[in-house]
Amino acid sequence: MSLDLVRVAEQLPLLLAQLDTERATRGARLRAALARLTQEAARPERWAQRLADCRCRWPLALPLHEDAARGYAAPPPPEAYSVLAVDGSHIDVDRHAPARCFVLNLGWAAIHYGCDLPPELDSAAEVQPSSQPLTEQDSEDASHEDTIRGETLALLRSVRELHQLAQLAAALPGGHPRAALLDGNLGLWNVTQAPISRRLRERLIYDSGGLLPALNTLRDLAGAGLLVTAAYTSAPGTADVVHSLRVAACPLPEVVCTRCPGLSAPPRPCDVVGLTADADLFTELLAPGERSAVFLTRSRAFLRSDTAAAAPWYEQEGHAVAFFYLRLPEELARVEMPVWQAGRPEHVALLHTLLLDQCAKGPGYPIALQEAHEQAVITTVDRRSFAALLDREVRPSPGPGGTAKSRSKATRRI
Amino acid sequence: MTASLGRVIEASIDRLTAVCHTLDGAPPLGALVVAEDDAPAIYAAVTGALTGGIDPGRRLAPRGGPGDGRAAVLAQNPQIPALLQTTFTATVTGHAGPGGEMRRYLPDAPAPVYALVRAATAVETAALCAEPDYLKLLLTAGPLADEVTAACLRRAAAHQPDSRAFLITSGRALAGLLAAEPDRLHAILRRIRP
Repeated sequence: MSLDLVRVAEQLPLLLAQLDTERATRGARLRAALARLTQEAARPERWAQRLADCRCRWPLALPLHEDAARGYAAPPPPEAYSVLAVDGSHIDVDRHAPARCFVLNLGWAAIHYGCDLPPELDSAAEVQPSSQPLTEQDSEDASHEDTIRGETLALLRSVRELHQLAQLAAALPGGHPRAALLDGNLGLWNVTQAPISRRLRERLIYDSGGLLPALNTLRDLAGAGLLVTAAYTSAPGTADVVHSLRVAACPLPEVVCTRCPGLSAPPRPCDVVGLTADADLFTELLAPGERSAVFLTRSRAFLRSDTAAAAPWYEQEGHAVAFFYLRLPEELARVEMPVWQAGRPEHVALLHTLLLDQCAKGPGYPIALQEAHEQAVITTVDRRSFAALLDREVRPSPGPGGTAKSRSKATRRI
Repeated sequence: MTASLGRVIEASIDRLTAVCHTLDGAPPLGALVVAEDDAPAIYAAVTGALTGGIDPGRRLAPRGGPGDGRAAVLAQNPQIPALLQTTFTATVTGHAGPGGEMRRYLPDAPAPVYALVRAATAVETAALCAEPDYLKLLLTAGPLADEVTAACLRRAAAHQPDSRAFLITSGRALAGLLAAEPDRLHAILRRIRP
């Protein structure tokens, strides 16, 4: 038996007791967090200064221009619009396979409403190494090399997704509002903080297929017409706003988390507003269909030496990440966008109403993202078929293929 | 030559399945179709059509409100036609010999997969139906065989110079083939009565 469910079930009462304890404290924390949000929204300059001066590792967020303590209703959707969504999936490198390679599959959906344009639902698969090496040496350290697999492959995929989004967005017909959507987050911070070599990081950011050209393209398209760009996360676990409320609620004159009195005598003073996620806060604050104020992320990591890190490349290039939360009937979603769009109220309003319309058609989740996912998804059957194809094409001679471990898994014996 | 309706995606000696080029583009029940495409022609009568999702793993969800017609649902969900396809099945009723002669029995091999399928011309229909041998194959066309046979005869009659005489001749042939199954015979005859 692979999982002893009886033993697992025996431990569930403890889990339920822990959840009850958390629920009991959650109500008080929620009331305190809402009160703190109202208080800080009334004096945004003080809040901003407090965040600017603080020394903590939390990702933070500040309201961009709007009152953070209220919700915003959407305008009616336009009669005609186009929505484009891109999603990706991959088969990772398997060292037990006869060849070390990966498959990256990008799927997309372009759907046009209120006009006669046909939808485009398609995908493109890429097998590597065929045009790029699987392992790349660093330019500064000969002993540092990156193999494109695991989390690095996931990074590459997110870069490819944004690049594909920009390319397809450029080909969208104009004449009516358009939206370009990704699943998840914009992925800018992920590339910045990943433990990869400088050469690979720069390739992922600055190469022709990298993040920066894609963001620049999307910015140009937004400037030329009504195109909005966003990354959509269903039921996010992020807590940037809650962290910012923690900073605001800190009793220290200057917030330095390494000097927190809660380190020696828990709980931390800021735990009074310490909700697990922003979703708790905004589910309470927003009515269905409303969005939150737009927030600007401040995701710089501050070192324990109290030295502030330099602004990441995307902030320096004018692509800082902003977001709002969107309250749907069933859940809360996080919608990320570049700051050049967040500062244009008509674009934010358009994105808001288009996402609501897409979620209504979903239902519950943007239909274009669903269809892009369906185009991108690599099923278990697909994975087995690819493994069989690889085995047939690559294995030099007949006989048992793969490693001893992979064969032992394929043939389970008693 | 008529334009192709679809492409063979599955074939056996006695049946073929084709996917239509356009949604809801299946030929009518009993219509005679031809699969040829660089191979000797195989003639078949349409026995069924199905419109559904391309991906068998995705069920179609109900969409639209109680007052929304089909056009409204498709306008609200314009991606749906791209996710659907129409297929039709057909029972083989004959094939062309090496010299192009009409043979009203099963071919040596199935229709090639990916062969184009088109509607039979009036000349081809008349040639196939000139002798009633093909009826024996139609009568084994599955659970809807009687409906398919009747529909095929009704449509073929329209291509004959004397429809009434054609139906009477065909009825006599059926009487011989279904001598042991009078209920089936009468059901078909009721459906082709001029």
